[in-house]
Amino acid sequence: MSKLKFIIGTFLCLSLSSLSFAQVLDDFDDSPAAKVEKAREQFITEKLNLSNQEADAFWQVYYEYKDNEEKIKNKYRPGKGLRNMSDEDANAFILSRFEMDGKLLQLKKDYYQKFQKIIGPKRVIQYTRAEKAFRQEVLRRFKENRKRKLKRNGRNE
Amino acid sequence: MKNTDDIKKELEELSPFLSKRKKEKEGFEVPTNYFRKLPDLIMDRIQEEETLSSSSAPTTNWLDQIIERIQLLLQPQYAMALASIAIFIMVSIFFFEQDNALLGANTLAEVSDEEINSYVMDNLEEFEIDLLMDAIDEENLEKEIESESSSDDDYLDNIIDDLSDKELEELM
Repeated sequence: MSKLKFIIGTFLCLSLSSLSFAQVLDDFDDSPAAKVEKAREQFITEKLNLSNQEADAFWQVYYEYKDNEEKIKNKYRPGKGLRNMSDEDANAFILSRFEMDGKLLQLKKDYYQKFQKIIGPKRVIQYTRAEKAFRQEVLRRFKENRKRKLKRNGRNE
Repeated sequence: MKNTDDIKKELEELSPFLSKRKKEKEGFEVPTNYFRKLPDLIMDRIQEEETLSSSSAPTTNWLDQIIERIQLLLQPQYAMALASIAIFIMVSIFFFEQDNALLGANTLAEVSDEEINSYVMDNLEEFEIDLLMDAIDEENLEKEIESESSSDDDYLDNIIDDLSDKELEELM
């Protein structure tokens, strides 16, 4: 009996520690998406001048909002490409997009209330600007990369 | 004596089997010095058993061996050392993460070009369509490259124009 307890205890300890180790590994995620998200956090936190406490609360609600937004978008993804759509399918797709837009707007309104409780309405406006500026910066880098690639290809020809 | 002979005779007549058994020795005989040697005999037997059991221990179940090893690590002197190492690792991870946040690691400048390209291609929906087209349209990009290089040429021309004859001579 005591041997069984010992085995169960050891197993529990090992699984708990592996769980916490996995959590640590998660924090060291180095996929492109994870790196860009970290950079976004850094960029927006600086632009909005968020305190540690504000940043913690803000980013928790932010990721919750993004998850819900993704769920709605996934639900309304078209099953077929435009070429394979009949008129009826196209009509149904357009109507479903209106429905999706409505749900996304409602989500935005709900989360605006949460965001403004944390950072106030003025900084919510600043946030939308900062988010746009970040996206533009990412695209600027993307554009520069493409230009460099075109220049290289031009020289090689 | 006569009585016993009579009895024997009678028994032989009644049951030959029993009369024969009677001739065998009764009970059992204790070897000489048996009780004097008994404690030593017992001690020898115990010692033999102990050596047998200790030599057969390593061949017991592998699970028991592992448990034994782990239990050894859980002895106070080892457990304290293990616990302090664990605490040290946890504290260093905590400070490492804090440092990361404070030093402002993970800025966009630290994301490589390949990673930026892969992020944009995987998340096209995130970007405004006109900006995305502007960044993707090759014709537009070539025009921009051309105008950039011509403005570089203009810039060089202007510098050369501004140089005096002497400065130009030195440069050449």
